Amino acid sequence: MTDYIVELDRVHKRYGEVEALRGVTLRVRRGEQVAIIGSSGSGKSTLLRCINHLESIDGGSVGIDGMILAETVAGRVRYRREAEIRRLIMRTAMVFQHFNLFGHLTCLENVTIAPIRIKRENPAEVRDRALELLRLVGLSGKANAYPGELSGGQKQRVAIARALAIRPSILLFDEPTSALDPEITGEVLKVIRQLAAQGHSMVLVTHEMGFAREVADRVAFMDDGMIVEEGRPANIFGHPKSERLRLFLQAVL
Amino acid sequence: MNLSREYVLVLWPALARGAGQTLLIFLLTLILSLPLGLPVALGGISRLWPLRILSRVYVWLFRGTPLMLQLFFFYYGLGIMAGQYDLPFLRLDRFPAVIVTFSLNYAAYFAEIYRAGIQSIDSGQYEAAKTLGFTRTQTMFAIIIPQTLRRIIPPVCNETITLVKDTALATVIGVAELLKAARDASNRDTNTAPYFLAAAGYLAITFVLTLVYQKLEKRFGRHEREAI
Repeated sequence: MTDYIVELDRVHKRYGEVEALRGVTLRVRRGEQVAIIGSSGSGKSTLLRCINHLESIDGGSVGIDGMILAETVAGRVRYRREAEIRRLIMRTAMVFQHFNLFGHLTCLENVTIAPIRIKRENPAEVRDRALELLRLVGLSGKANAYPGELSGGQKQRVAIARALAIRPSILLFDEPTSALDPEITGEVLKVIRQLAAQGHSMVLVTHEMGFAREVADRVAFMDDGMIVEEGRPANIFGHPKSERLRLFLQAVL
Repeated sequence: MNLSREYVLVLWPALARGAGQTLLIFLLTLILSLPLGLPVALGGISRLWPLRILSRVYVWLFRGTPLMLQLFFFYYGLGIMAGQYDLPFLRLDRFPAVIVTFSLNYAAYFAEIYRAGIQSIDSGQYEAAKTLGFTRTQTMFAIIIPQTLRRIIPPVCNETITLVKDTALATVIGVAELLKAARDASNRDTNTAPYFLAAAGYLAITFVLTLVYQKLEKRFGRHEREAI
């Protein structure tokens, strides 16, 4: 087993004529927290979505947990077979900007459905674990509530519990607080901070610069489909090398 | 018009039998067409283009031609073909012909309602399911279809109320449902009362249905008090 949980190598992604990713290389070690920052349209979310095959790459390679998900051979991208892709991407779990909770299921059922129905784990054990996860995100009392009855911050915390329930090797956060009111982003960030402190590997696409600086081991700055600069938070935020990063930080800080 | 108690009692047995036939056509058609609409709907959004074409042609044919024409085709048309090509199994009795025609016809309408319901579900639901390891089929049956239920109940109910009235078309191939019973009585007695009684029968059925649908909507509405 390699040290890397996620390995993106020279990944290209096109939408028609638009090149969303122009050869991006990013590796994430076990236990590492990587934040991706950059303005809207820079390709951060696209990059994240290439890791778990929500987007198909047009060039380069993607590896998860030391296994190849997709690679480019003789100029052609080859993905694994569908069943193998599914097994591999279950080693990752994603938390979405718009939560994407299953509206017809209670919070508890949202957390248990994948372990029980997909991973075929023991329902009683899964239930106990799910209740523990809901407690971890501070929502013990909402186990039997439906997502429609929760606030945005609560929904996102259930979504985090749901992601953790499949015991992923790495968590992928796609702007987890961007759809929330400013006064409730704190409750979600608190949970993510806690997970980072416990050593969960994660890639975090975010507009929360303060938070990125605080929780990430490493920060990657993207612009125009490329990682322009990458390094320790103190260097990225304190001593930006590139003009583009300097301008970006000026605009957002 | 004679609506005396004695006359109503005379009419009652025939009209009740007719109403029974109407209800039977209604229920059998629902039992067959509600499930049949699902594969047609799924075919219509399939990744395989032959299935898509097949499903869309099916819907086009059954929605694009008069139900009465379809009734004539399945009763008279198939009967003629049975004789010409020596395929006796094509010959349907009146009642089965009605059930087959109505079921195929309503399946097309239900399929379109299902398809619209499925396509109204946010793509984020598919993405979340995919990242949790669901296959496309598992996603459809465990995540998507259950969430369409509440959205499709109003249009499906609307369609079934239309079906109550469409059952009267069975009269054109001589099935003794409520309208035929009323017309026969009216012609025999030169009296408009049977039509009023038949109208009351249809109204009673649709009234009960409306109550049932209100209950259904409430029940399936629990989890959708606001957008997800």
